[in-house]
Amino acid sequence: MTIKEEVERYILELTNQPGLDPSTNLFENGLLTSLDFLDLISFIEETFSVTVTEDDIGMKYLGSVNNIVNLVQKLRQNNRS
Amino acid sequence: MDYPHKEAVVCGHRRLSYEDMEEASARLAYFLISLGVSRGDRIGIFSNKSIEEIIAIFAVLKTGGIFVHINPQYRESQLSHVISDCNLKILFIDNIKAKILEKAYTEKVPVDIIISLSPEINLSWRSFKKIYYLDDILKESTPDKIPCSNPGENDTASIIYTSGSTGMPKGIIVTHSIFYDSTVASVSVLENNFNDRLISVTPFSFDGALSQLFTSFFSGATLVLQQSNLPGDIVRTLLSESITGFHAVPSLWIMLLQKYSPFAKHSYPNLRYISTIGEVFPENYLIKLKHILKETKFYMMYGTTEAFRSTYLPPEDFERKRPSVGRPFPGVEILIVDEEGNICGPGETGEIVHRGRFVSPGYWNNREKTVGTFKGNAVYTGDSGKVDDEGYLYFLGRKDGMIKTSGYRVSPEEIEECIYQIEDIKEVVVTGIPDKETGSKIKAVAVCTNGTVLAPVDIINHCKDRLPYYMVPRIVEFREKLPRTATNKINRSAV
Repeated sequence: MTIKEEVERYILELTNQPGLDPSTNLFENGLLTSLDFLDLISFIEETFSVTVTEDDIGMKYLGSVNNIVNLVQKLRQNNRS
Repeated sequence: MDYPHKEAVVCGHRRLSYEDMEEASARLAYFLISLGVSRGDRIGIFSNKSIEEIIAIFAVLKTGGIFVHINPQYRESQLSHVISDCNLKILFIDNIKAKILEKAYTEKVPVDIIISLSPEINLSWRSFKKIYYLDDILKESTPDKIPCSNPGENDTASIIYTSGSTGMPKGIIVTHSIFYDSTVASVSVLENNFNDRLISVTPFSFDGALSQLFTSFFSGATLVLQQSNLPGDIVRTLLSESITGFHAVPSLWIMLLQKYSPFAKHSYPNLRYISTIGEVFPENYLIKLKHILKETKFYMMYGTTEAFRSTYLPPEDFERKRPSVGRPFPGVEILIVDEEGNICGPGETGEIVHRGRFVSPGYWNNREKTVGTFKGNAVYTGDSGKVDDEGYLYFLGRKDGMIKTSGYRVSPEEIEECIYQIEDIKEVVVTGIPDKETGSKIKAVAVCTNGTVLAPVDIINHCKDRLPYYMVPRIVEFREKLPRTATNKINRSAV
Protein backbone atom coordinates (compact mmCIF):
# COMPACT_ATOMS: atom_id res chain seq x y z
CA MET A 1 0.00 0.00 0.00
CA THR A 2 1.16 3.56 -0.60
CA ILE A 3 1.40 6.01 2.28
CA LYS A 4 -1.80 7.66 1.09
CA GLU A 5 -3.69 4.37 0.89
CA GLU A 6 -2.61 3.40 4.42
CA VAL A 7 -3.67 6.78 5.80
CA GLU A 8 -7.00 6.69 3.96
CA ARG A 9 -7.72 3.21 5.28
CA TYR A 10 -7.02 4.30 8.85
CA ILE A 11 -9.08 7.50 8.56
CA LEU A 12 -11.98 5.51 7.10
CA GLU A 13 -11.83 3.16 10.09
CA LEU A 14 -11.79 6.08 12.51
CA THR A 15 -14.44 8.23 10.86
CA ASN A 16 -16.66 5.72 9.06
CA GLN A 17 -16.90 8.16 6.13
CA PRO A 18 -16.18 6.53 2.76
CA GLY A 19 -15.28 8.67 -0.27
CA LEU A 20 -13.73 11.49 1.77
CA ASP A 21 -11.83 14.15 -0.18
CA PRO A 22 -8.17 13.91 0.94
CA SER A 23 -8.03 17.69 1.35
CA THR A 24 -11.08 17.85 3.66
CA ASN A 25 -10.20 19.33 7.04
CA LEU A 26 -11.08 16.43 9.35
CA PHE A 27 -11.22 18.54 12.52
CA GLU A 28 -13.21 21.46 11.11
CA ASN A 29 -15.80 18.99 9.86
CA GLY A 30 -16.07 17.26 13.23
CA LEU A 31 -14.81 13.94 11.83
CA LEU A 32 -11.83 13.94 14.18
CA THR A 33 -11.51 15.75 17.45
CA SER A 34 -8.70 16.58 19.82
CA LEU A 35 -9.63 13.34 21.63
CA ASP A 36 -8.47 11.36 18.57
CA PHE A 37 -5.06 12.91 18.01
CA LEU A 38 -3.12 10.59 20.34
CA ASP A 39 -4.48 7.54 18.47
CA LEU A 40 -3.57 9.23 15.20
CA ILE A 41 0.03 9.82 16.38
CA SER A 42 0.38 6.18 17.48
CA PHE A 43 -0.89 5.03 14.09
CA ILE A 44 1.59 7.27 12.23
CA GLU A 45 4.57 6.22 14.36
CA GLU A 46 3.82 2.50 14.35
CA THR A 47 2.76 2.15 10.73
CA PHE A 48 5.53 4.21 9.18
CA SER A 49 8.33 3.74 11.76
CA VAL A 50 8.82 7.46 12.26
CA THR A 51 8.93 9.67 15.35
CA VAL A 52 6.40 12.48 15.59
CA THR A 53 7.63 15.54 17.50
CA GLU A 54 5.59 18.04 19.49
CA ASP A 55 6.11 20.67 16.81
CA ASP A 56 4.22 18.47 14.33
CA ILE A 57 1.02 18.50 16.41
CA GLY A 58 -1.02 20.99 14.47
CA MET A 59 -3.50 21.34 11.61
CA LYS A 60 -0.66 21.89 9.16
CA TYR A 61 0.45 18.27 9.58
CA LEU A 62 -2.63 16.47 10.88
CA GLY A 63 -5.61 18.38 9.51
CA SER A 64 -6.37 16.28 6.42
CA VAL A 65 -5.33 13.03 4.70
CA ASN A 66 -3.02 15.06 2.41
CA ASN A 67 -1.46 16.84 5.39
CA ILE A 68 -0.82 13.54 7.18
CA VAL A 69 0.79 12.07 4.04
CA ASN A 70 3.05 15.15 3.80
CA LEU A 71 4.00 14.73 7.44
CA VAL A 72 4.99 11.09 6.96
CA GLN A 73 7.09 12.00 3.93
CA LYS A 74 8.76 14.83 5.86
CA LEU A 75 9.54 12.58 8.82
CA ARG A 76 10.95 9.83 6.61
CA GLN A 77 13.16 12.43 4.94
CA ASN A 78 14.38 13.56 8.39
CA ASN A 79 15.16 9.94 9.29
CA ARG A 80 17.39 9.56 6.25
CA SER A 81 19.36 12.77 6.82
CA MET B 1 -5.94 54.90 24.02
CA ASP B 2 -7.16 54.78 20.42
CA TYR B 3 -10.04 52.36 20.89
CA PRO B 4 -11.67 52.70 17.45
CA HIS B 5 -8.56 51.42 15.71
CA LYS B 6 -7.60 48.90 18.35
CA GLU B 7 -7.82 45.22 17.41
CA ALA B 8 -11.12 43.88 18.76
CA VAL B 9 -10.91 40.37 17.28
CA VAL B 10 -8.14 38.34 15.66
CA CYS B 11 -8.62 35.08 13.74
CA GLY B 12 -5.57 33.64 12.02
CA HIS B 13 -4.23 36.43 9.84
CA ARG B 14 -7.46 38.45 9.96
CA ARG B 15 -7.84 41.34 12.35
CA LEU B 16 -10.93 43.49 12.93
CA SER B 17 -10.82 46.79 14.80
CA TYR B 18 -13.48 48.01 17.22
CA GLU B 19 -14.58 50.55 14.64
CA ASP B 20 -14.94 47.91 11.95
CA MET B 21 -16.75 45.57 14.32
CA GLU B 22 -19.18 48.32 15.30
CA GLU B 23 -19.83 49.22 11.66
CA ALA B 24 -20.28 45.61 10.54
CA SER B 25 -22.66 44.71 13.38
CA ALA B 26 -24.64 47.92 12.85
CA ARG B 27 -25.04 47.23 9.12
CA LEU B 28 -26.12 43.68 9.83
CA ALA B 29 -28.55 44.85 12.54
CA TYR B 30 -30.12 47.30 10.09
CA PHE B 31 -30.49 44.51 7.55
CA LEU B 32 -32.10 42.18 10.12
CA ILE B 33 -34.60 44.89 11.06
CA SER B 34 -35.41 45.42 7.37
CA LEU B 35 -36.27 41.69 7.23
CA GLY B 36 -38.77 42.24 10.02
CA VAL B 37 -36.69 41.12 13.02
CA SER B 38 -38.11 42.60 16.18
CA ARG B 39 -37.73 42.32 19.93
CA GLY B 40 -37.83 38.77 21.21
CA ASP B 41 -37.30 37.04 17.83
CA ARG B 42 -34.94 34.08 18.05
CA ILE B 43 -31.99 34.06 15.64
CA GLY B 44 -29.73 31.02 15.45
CA ILE B 45 -25.99 30.85 14.80
CA PHE B 46 -24.48 27.51 13.73
CA SER B 47 -20.86 27.92 12.78
CA ASN B 48 -17.27 26.99 13.52
CA LYS B 49 -15.34 29.68 15.37
CA SER B 50 -15.09 32.82 13.28
CA ILE B 51 -15.12 36.61 13.29
CA GLU B 52 -18.41 36.45 11.37
CA GLU B 53 -20.31 34.78 14.19
CA ILE B 54 -19.26 37.55 16.59
CA ILE B 55 -20.58 40.16 14.14
CA ALA B 56 -23.84 38.17 14.11
CA ILE B 57 -24.06 38.01 17.93
CA PHE B 58 -23.68 41.78 18.34
CA ALA B 59 -26.02 42.51 15.42
CA VAL B 60 -28.80 40.41 16.95
CA LEU B 61 -28.34 42.11 20.32
CA LYS B 62 -28.63 45.51 18.63
CA THR B 63 -32.04 44.54 17.20
CA GLY B 64 -33.45 43.44 20.58
CA GLY B 65 -33.62 39.90 19.23
CA ILE B 66 -32.44 36.79 21.05
CA PHE B 67 -29.34 35.02 19.76
CA VAL B 68 -29.18 31.25 20.02
CA HIS B 69 -25.63 30.06 19.49
CA ILE B 70 -25.89 26.38 18.58
CA ASN B 71 -23.10 24.04 19.66
CA PRO B 72 -21.03 23.40 16.50
CA GLN B 73 -20.60 19.80 17.66
CA TYR B 74 -24.34 19.15 17.37
CA ARG B 75 -25.47 16.60 14.83
CA GLU B 76 -28.74 16.55 12.89
CA SER B 77 -31.17 15.58 15.66
CA GLN B 78 -29.85 18.08 18.23
CA LEU B 79 -29.82 20.83 15.58
CA SER B 80 -33.40 20.17 14.49
CA HIS B 81 -34.53 20.05 18.12
CA VAL B 82 -33.07 23.53 18.81
CA ILE B 83 -34.52 24.99 15.61
CA SER B 84 -38.05 23.84 16.45
CA ASP B 85 -37.86 24.23 20.25
CA CYS B 86 -37.18 27.95 20.09
CA ASN B 87 -38.81 28.53 16.71
CA LEU B 88 -35.92 30.29 14.99
CA LYS B 89 -36.85 33.07 12.61
CA ILE B 90 -33.42 33.28 10.95
CA LEU B 91 -30.39 30.99 10.95
CA PHE B 92 -26.82 32.18 10.42
CA ILE B 93 -24.73 29.27 9.13
CA ASP B 94 -21.32 28.60 7.59
CA ASN B 95 -20.57 26.29 4.66
CA ILE B 96 -19.29 23.46 6.86
CA LYS B 97 -22.30 23.34 9.17
CA ALA B 98 -24.61 23.59 6.15
CA LYS B 99 -23.91 19.88 5.58
CA ILE B 100 -25.46 19.04 8.97
CA LEU B 101 -28.47 21.27 8.25
CA GLU B 102 -29.00 19.60 4.91
CA LYS B 103 -28.85 16.10 6.44
CA ALA B 104 -31.33 17.14 9.14
CA TYR B 105 -33.93 18.39 6.67
CA THR B 106 -33.86 16.54 3.36
CA GLU B 107 -37.19 17.97 2.11
CA LYS B 108 -38.63 20.70 4.26
CA VAL B 109 -36.67 23.91 4.84
CA PRO B 110 -36.56 24.42 8.62
CA VAL B 111 -36.29 28.22 8.80
CA ASP B 112 -37.57 30.84 6.41
CA ILE B 113 -34.37 32.81 6.18
CA ILE B 114 -30.80 31.58 6.02
CA ILE B 115 -27.84 33.95 6.17
CA SER B 116 -24.55 32.44 5.07
CA LEU B 117 -21.50 33.48 7.05
CA SER B 118 -19.29 31.99 4.31
CA PRO B 119 -18.81 33.57 0.88
CA GLU B 120 -20.32 30.43 -0.71
CA ILE B 121 -22.62 27.77 0.61
CA ASN B 122 -23.99 24.51 -0.70
CA LEU B 123 -27.68 24.09 0.11
CA SER B 124 -29.69 22.20 -2.41
CA TRP B 125 -33.30 22.64 -1.34
CA ARG B 126 -35.60 23.10 -4.26
CA SER B 127 -37.60 25.80 -2.60
CA PHE B 128 -36.62 28.11 0.20
CA LYS B 129 -37.63 31.62 1.01
CA LYS B 130 -34.17 33.15 0.68
CA ILE B 131 -30.49 32.70 1.32
CA TYR B 132 -28.56 35.90 2.01
CA TYR B 133 -24.79 36.30 2.22
CA LEU B 134 -23.08 38.27 4.98
CA ASP B 135 -20.45 39.52 2.52
CA ASP B 136 -23.16 41.16 0.38
CA ILE B 137 -24.99 42.59 3.39
CA LEU B 138 -21.83 44.26 4.71
CA LYS B 139 -21.19 45.96 1.36
CA GLU B 140 -24.55 47.77 1.51
CA SER B 141 -24.56 51.38 2.61
CA THR B 142 -25.91 52.08 6.06
CA PRO B 143 -28.21 54.96 6.92
CA ASP B 144 -26.85 57.48 9.43
CA LYS B 145 -29.18 56.42 12.16
CA ILE B 146 -29.68 52.79 13.11
CA PRO B 147 -32.94 52.12 14.91
CA CYS B 148 -32.01 50.97 18.41
CA SER B 149 -34.36 48.74 20.30
CA ASN B 150 -33.11 49.52 23.86
CA PRO B 151 -33.96 46.18 25.46
CA GLY B 152 -34.96 46.07 29.13
CA GLU B 153 -32.53 44.48 31.58
CA ASN B 154 -34.89 41.55 32.18
CA ASP B 155 -35.45 40.93 28.47
CA THR B 156 -33.98 37.72 27.11
CA ALA B 157 -30.69 38.25 25.28
CA SER B 158 -29.85 34.64 24.53
CA ILE B 159 -30.90 31.03 24.95
CA ILE B 160 -28.07 28.61 25.71
CA TYR B 161 -28.78 24.91 25.18
CA THR B 162 -27.35 22.24 27.45
CA SER B 163 -28.05 18.53 27.99
CA GLY B 164 -30.72 17.62 30.50
CA SER B 165 -31.17 14.47 32.54
CA THR B 166 -33.80 13.13 30.13
CA GLY B 167 -34.43 13.69 26.46
CA MET B 168 -33.17 16.52 24.30
CA PRO B 169 -31.11 19.59 25.30
CA LYS B 170 -32.91 22.33 27.22
CA GLY B 171 -32.56 26.04 26.51
CA ILE B 172 -31.47 28.25 29.40
CA ILE B 173 -32.77 31.82 29.24
CA VAL B 174 -30.06 34.44 29.76
CA THR B 175 -31.19 38.03 30.23
CA HIS B 176 -29.37 41.26 29.39
CA SER B 177 -28.83 41.94 33.09
CA ILE B 178 -27.24 38.53 33.66
CA PHE B 179 -24.77 39.16 30.82
CA TYR B 180 -24.05 42.72 31.96
CA ASP B 181 -23.75 42.05 35.70
CA SER B 182 -21.61 38.92 35.25
CA THR B 183 -19.36 40.78 32.80
CA VAL B 184 -18.78 43.61 35.27
CA ALA B 185 -18.14 41.09 38.05
CA SER B 186 -15.72 39.02 35.94
CA VAL B 187 -13.77 42.06 34.74
CA SER B 188 -13.36 43.16 38.34
CA VAL B 189 -12.16 39.76 39.54
CA LEU B 190 -9.87 39.02 36.58
CA GLU B 191 -8.67 42.65 36.38
CA ASN B 192 -9.32 42.67 32.62
CA ASN B 193 -8.09 45.83 30.89
CA PHE B 194 -7.35 47.21 27.42
CA ASN B 195 -3.86 45.63 27.44
CA ASP B 196 -5.31 42.13 27.62
CA ARG B 197 -5.09 39.73 24.70
CA LEU B 198 -7.44 36.84 25.49
CA ILE B 199 -7.49 33.50 23.66
CA SER B 200 -10.92 32.03 22.93
CA VAL B 201 -10.82 28.24 22.58
CA THR B 202 -14.32 27.01 23.36
CA PRO B 203 -17.41 27.49 21.18
CA PHE B 204 -19.68 30.47 21.94
CA SER B 205 -22.39 27.98 22.87
CA PHE B 206 -20.51 27.67 26.20
CA ASP B 207 -21.44 30.40 28.70
CA GLY B 208 -17.72 30.74 29.61
CA ALA B 209 -16.80 31.66 26.03
CA LEU B 210 -19.63 34.21 25.83
CA SER B 211 -18.58 35.65 29.17
CA GLN B 212 -15.04 36.03 27.85
CA LEU B 213 -16.29 37.67 24.63
CA PHE B 214 -18.21 40.29 26.61
CA THR B 215 -15.46 40.90 29.17
CA SER B 216 -12.97 41.38 26.34
CA PHE B 217 -15.17 43.96 24.58
CA PHE B 218 -16.12 45.64 27.86
CA SER B 219 -12.45 46.20 28.70
CA GLY B 220 -11.37 47.23 25.20
CA ALA B 221 -9.10 44.17 25.09
CA THR B 222 -8.29 41.97 22.06
CA LEU B 223 -9.95 38.58 21.62
CA VAL B 224 -7.91 36.01 19.67
CA LEU B 225 -10.06 33.22 18.21
CA GLN B 226 -8.44 29.78 18.31
CA GLN B 227 -9.91 27.51 15.64
CA SER B 228 -7.69 24.46 16.14
CA ASN B 229 -7.61 22.75 19.55
CA LEU B 230 -4.50 20.73 18.72
CA PRO B 231 -1.87 21.50 21.37
CA GLY B 232 0.85 22.60 18.91
CA ASP B 233 -1.52 25.15 17.38
CA ILE B 234 -2.64 26.49 20.77
CA VAL B 235 0.96 26.94 21.90
CA ARG B 236 1.86 28.76 18.66
CA THR B 237 -1.00 31.21 19.29
CA LEU B 238 -0.08 31.74 22.95
CA LEU B 239 3.42 32.75 21.86
CA SER B 240 2.82 34.62 18.59
CA GLU B 241 -0.16 36.63 19.89
CA SER B 242 1.37 37.30 23.35
CA ILE B 243 -1.74 36.01 25.08
CA THR B 244 -2.34 37.49 28.53
CA GLY B 245 -5.43 35.52 29.61
CA PHE B 246 -6.55 31.94 28.94
CA HIS B 247 -9.83 30.41 30.12
CA ALA B 248 -10.41 26.68 29.59
CA VAL B 249 -12.05 23.64 31.16
CA PRO B 250 -9.74 21.24 33.06
CA SER B 251 -9.78 18.59 30.30
CA LEU B 252 -8.28 21.12 27.87
CA TRP B 253 -5.50 21.99 30.34
CA ILE B 254 -4.86 18.29 30.85
CA MET B 255 -4.62 17.75 27.08
CA LEU B 256 -1.97 20.50 26.97
CA LEU B 257 0.02 18.58 29.58
CA GLN B 258 0.04 15.26 27.66
CA LYS B 259 2.84 13.65 25.70
CA TYR B 260 3.20 15.26 22.23
CA SER B 261 2.15 18.63 23.53
CA PRO B 262 4.84 21.31 23.31
CA PHE B 263 3.18 23.30 26.10
CA ALA B 264 5.65 22.37 28.87
CA LYS B 265 8.76 23.21 26.86
CA HIS B 266 7.98 26.93 26.53
CA SER B 267 7.57 29.78 28.95
CA TYR B 268 4.74 32.32 28.76
CA PRO B 269 5.93 35.58 30.31
CA ASN B 270 2.89 37.46 28.93
CA LEU B 271 0.34 35.04 30.36
CA ARG B 272 -0.95 37.16 33.22
CA TYR B 273 -3.71 34.75 34.27
CA ILE B 274 -5.49 31.51 33.54
CA SER B 275 -8.95 30.56 34.69
CA THR B 276 -10.72 27.24 34.81
CA ILE B 277 -14.29 26.10 35.40
CA GLY B 278 -16.74 23.34 34.71
CA GLU B 279 -15.09 20.16 35.98
CA VAL B 280 -13.18 18.78 38.91
CA PHE B 281 -9.46 19.50 38.27
CA PRO B 282 -7.31 16.51 39.38
CA GLU B 283 -4.77 17.84 41.84
CA ASN B 284 -1.67 16.25 40.29
CA TYR B 285 -2.38 17.96 36.96
CA LEU B 286 -3.12 21.26 38.68
CA ILE B 287 0.24 21.15 40.43
CA LYS B 288 2.00 20.23 37.17
CA LEU B 289 0.34 23.18 35.42
CA LYS B 290 1.33 25.59 38.21
CA HIS B 291 4.90 24.38 37.95
CA ILE B 292 5.01 25.40 34.26
CA LEU B 293 3.14 28.68 34.86
CA LYS B 294 4.90 29.85 38.04
CA GLU B 295 4.33 33.60 37.50
CA THR B 296 0.78 33.26 36.15
CA LYS B 297 -2.21 33.93 38.41
CA PHE B 298 -4.63 31.00 38.67
CA TYR B 299 -8.36 31.67 39.06
CA MET B 300 -10.29 28.52 39.92
CA MET B 301 -13.99 29.05 39.34
CA TYR B 302 -17.35 27.34 39.62
CA GLY B 303 -20.60 28.10 37.88
CA THR B 304 -23.48 26.59 35.96
CA THR B 305 -25.17 27.98 32.86
CA GLU B 306 -28.39 28.22 34.91
CA ALA B 307 -26.68 30.65 37.30
CA PHE B 308 -23.84 31.92 35.13
CA ARG B 309 -21.11 32.68 37.71
CA SER B 310 -21.11 31.31 41.24
CA THR B 311 -17.68 31.31 42.90
CA TYR B 312 -14.03 32.16 42.30
CA LEU B 313 -10.81 31.46 44.18
CA PRO B 314 -8.56 34.55 44.30
CA PRO B 315 -4.99 33.74 43.19
CA GLU B 316 -3.62 34.73 46.58
CA ASP B 317 -5.68 31.89 48.12
CA PHE B 318 -4.61 29.30 45.51
CA GLU B 319 -1.76 27.63 47.43
CA ARG B 320 -3.63 27.67 50.71
CA LYS B 321 -7.04 26.53 49.51
CA ARG B 322 -6.68 24.49 46.29
CA PRO B 323 -8.56 22.52 45.02
CA SER B 324 -11.33 24.78 46.34
CA VAL B 325 -13.28 26.71 43.70
CA GLY B 326 -13.49 29.66 46.04
CA ARG B 327 -16.06 31.94 47.58
CA PRO B 328 -19.24 33.41 46.08
CA PHE B 329 -19.22 36.45 43.81
CA PRO B 330 -20.70 39.55 45.47
CA GLY B 331 -24.50 39.21 45.53
CA VAL B 332 -24.37 35.41 45.38
CA GLU B 333 -25.04 32.98 48.21
CA ILE B 334 -23.91 29.34 48.07
CA LEU B 335 -25.69 26.75 50.19
CA ILE B 336 -25.15 23.02 50.53
CA VAL B 337 -28.40 21.12 51.07
CA ASP B 338 -29.08 17.49 51.90
CA GLU B 339 -31.68 15.13 50.37
CA GLU B 340 -34.40 16.58 52.62
CA GLY B 341 -33.56 20.15 51.71
CA ASN B 342 -31.89 20.99 55.03
CA ILE B 343 -28.81 23.20 54.97
CA CYS B 344 -25.60 21.24 55.63
CA GLY B 345 -22.89 22.38 57.99
CA PRO B 346 -19.21 22.91 57.09
CA GLY B 347 -17.57 19.76 55.81
CA GLU B 348 -20.84 17.98 54.98
CA THR B 349 -21.43 16.91 51.39
CA GLY B 350 -24.70 17.79 49.69
CA GLU B 351 -26.17 19.53 46.66
CA ILE B 352 -24.77 22.94 45.70
CA VAL B 353 -27.47 25.62 45.61
CA HIS B 354 -26.81 29.10 44.16
CA ARG B 355 -29.01 31.91 45.38
CA GLY B 356 -29.05 35.58 44.37
CA ARG B 357 -27.58 37.28 41.32
CA PHE B 358 -27.08 35.75 37.84
CA VAL B 359 -29.97 33.29 38.17
CA SER B 360 -31.75 32.52 34.90
CA PRO B 361 -35.53 33.04 34.74
CA GLY B 362 -35.75 29.37 33.69
CA TYR B 363 -35.71 26.98 30.74
CA TRP B 364 -37.19 28.04 27.44
CA ASN B 365 -40.45 26.29 26.64
CA ASN B 366 -40.07 23.83 29.52
CA ARG B 367 -42.06 24.76 32.59
CA GLU B 368 -41.75 21.28 34.13
CA LYS B 369 -37.94 21.30 34.16
CA THR B 370 -37.89 24.94 35.29
CA VAL B 371 -39.96 24.17 38.36
CA GLY B 372 -37.64 21.27 39.25
CA THR B 373 -34.39 23.25 39.12
CA PHE B 374 -35.36 26.84 39.95
CA LYS B 375 -36.96 27.68 43.29
CA GLY B 376 -37.48 31.39 43.91
CA ASN B 377 -34.19 33.00 42.95
CA ALA B 378 -32.24 29.84 43.72
CA VAL B 379 -30.81 27.21 41.38
CA TYR B 380 -30.54 23.62 42.56
CA THR B 381 -27.49 22.77 40.47
CA GLY B 382 -27.47 18.97 40.69
CA ASP B 383 -23.76 19.27 41.57
CA SER B 384 -22.28 17.76 44.68
CA GLY B 385 -20.05 19.83 46.98
CA LYS B 386 -19.17 21.04 50.44
CA VAL B 387 -17.98 24.23 52.08
CA ASP B 388 -15.28 24.55 54.71
CA ASP B 389 -15.51 26.61 57.88
CA GLU B 390 -14.29 29.72 56.02
CA GLY B 391 -17.06 29.38 53.43
CA TYR B 392 -14.82 28.13 50.61
CA LEU B 393 -16.60 25.76 48.20
CA TYR B 394 -15.24 22.40 47.04
CA PHE B 395 -16.85 20.97 43.89
CA LEU B 396 -17.10 17.18 43.99
CA GLY B 397 -18.88 16.28 40.74
CA ARG B 398 -22.44 15.53 39.63
CA LYS B 399 -25.04 14.45 42.15
CA ASP B 400 -27.45 13.01 39.59
CA GLY B 401 -26.63 10.54 36.85
CA MET B 402 -25.33 13.20 34.48
CA ILE B 403 -21.81 12.63 33.20
CA LYS B 404 -19.21 15.40 32.96
CA THR B 405 -16.81 14.85 30.08
CA SER B 406 -14.50 17.26 28.21
CA GLY B 407 -16.28 20.12 29.95
CA TYR B 408 -19.75 19.08 28.73
CA ARG B 409 -22.67 17.90 30.85
CA VAL B 410 -23.92 14.76 29.17
CA SER B 411 -27.10 12.80 29.67
CA PRO B 412 -26.69 9.00 29.73
CA GLU B 413 -30.35 8.69 28.74
CA GLU B 414 -29.79 10.72 25.57
CA ILE B 415 -26.99 8.37 24.52
CA GLU B 416 -29.09 5.31 25.40
CA GLU B 417 -31.97 6.69 23.27
CA CYS B 418 -29.59 6.89 20.35
CA ILE B 419 -28.28 3.34 20.84
CA TYR B 420 -31.84 1.97 21.16
CA GLN B 421 -32.34 3.01 17.53
CA ILE B 422 -30.18 0.02 16.56
CA GLU B 423 -32.64 -2.76 15.84
CA ASP B 424 -30.64 -5.56 17.44
CA ILE B 425 -30.24 -3.83 20.78
CA LYS B 426 -32.53 -5.21 23.46
CA GLU B 427 -31.25 -3.15 26.41
CA VAL B 428 -28.45 -0.69 27.04
CA VAL B 429 -27.16 1.37 29.92
CA VAL B 430 -24.59 4.16 29.65
CA THR B 431 -22.29 5.24 32.46
CA GLY B 432 -19.22 7.40 32.94
CA ILE B 433 -15.92 5.80 33.93
CA PRO B 434 -13.64 8.26 35.77
CA ASP B 435 -10.90 9.34 33.41
CA LYS B 436 -8.03 11.61 34.35
CA GLU B 437 -7.84 13.34 30.98
CA THR B 438 -11.47 14.04 30.15
CA GLY B 439 -13.25 13.71 33.50
CA SER B 440 -15.24 10.70 32.36
CA LYS B 441 -15.06 8.14 29.56
CA ILE B 442 -18.45 7.10 28.23
CA LYS B 443 -19.15 3.38 28.57
CA ALA B 444 -22.09 1.52 27.08
CA VAL B 445 -23.15 -1.89 28.34
CA ALA B 446 -25.60 -3.57 25.99
CA VAL B 447 -27.68 -6.69 25.61
CA CYS B 448 -28.48 -7.82 22.08
CA THR B 449 -31.75 -9.32 21.00
CA ASN B 450 -31.82 -13.13 21.01
CA GLY B 451 -29.63 -14.68 18.37
CA THR B 452 -27.90 -11.49 17.22
CA VAL B 453 -24.29 -10.54 17.71
CA LEU B 454 -22.94 -7.02 17.41
CA ALA B 455 -19.42 -5.62 17.66
CA PRO B 456 -18.46 -2.53 19.70
CA VAL B 457 -17.66 -0.70 16.46
CA ASP B 458 -21.31 -1.09 15.36
CA ILE B 459 -22.48 0.93 18.37
CA ILE B 460 -19.60 3.41 18.18
CA ASN B 461 -20.11 4.16 14.48
CA HIS B 462 -23.88 4.46 14.94
CA CYS B 463 -23.31 7.05 17.67
CA LYS B 464 -20.59 8.90 15.74
CA ASP B 465 -23.09 9.55 12.95
CA ARG B 466 -25.73 10.90 15.30
CA LEU B 467 -24.18 12.45 18.39
CA PRO B 468 -21.62 15.15 19.25
CA TYR B 469 -18.16 13.58 19.60
CA TYR B 470 -18.04 13.91 23.39
CA MET B 471 -21.18 11.73 23.70
CA VAL B 472 -19.80 8.80 21.69
CA PRO B 473 -18.99 5.74 23.89
CA ARG B 474 -15.26 5.00 24.07
CA ILE B 475 -15.87 1.62 25.75
CA VAL B 476 -18.56 -0.86 24.72
CA GLU B 477 -19.32 -4.12 26.52
CA PHE B 478 -21.90 -6.78 25.71
CA ARG B 479 -23.60 -8.92 28.34
CA GLU B 480 -26.31 -11.59 28.54
CA LYS B 481 -28.32 -9.45 30.93
CA LEU B 482 -28.09 -6.26 33.01
CA PRO B 483 -28.17 -6.14 36.83
CA ARG B 484 -31.53 -5.13 38.28
CA THR B 485 -32.77 -3.55 41.49
CA ALA B 486 -35.44 -4.98 43.79
CA THR B 487 -38.09 -3.15 41.77
CA ASN B 488 -36.71 -4.62 38.54
CA LYS B 489 -35.23 -1.33 37.28
CA ILE B 490 -31.81 -1.43 35.66
CA ASN B 491 -29.30 -0.97 38.45
CA ARG B 492 -26.98 1.67 36.97
CA SER B 493 -24.54 1.73 39.82
CA ALA B 494 -24.04 -2.03 39.64
CA VAL B 495 -23.09 -1.91 35.96
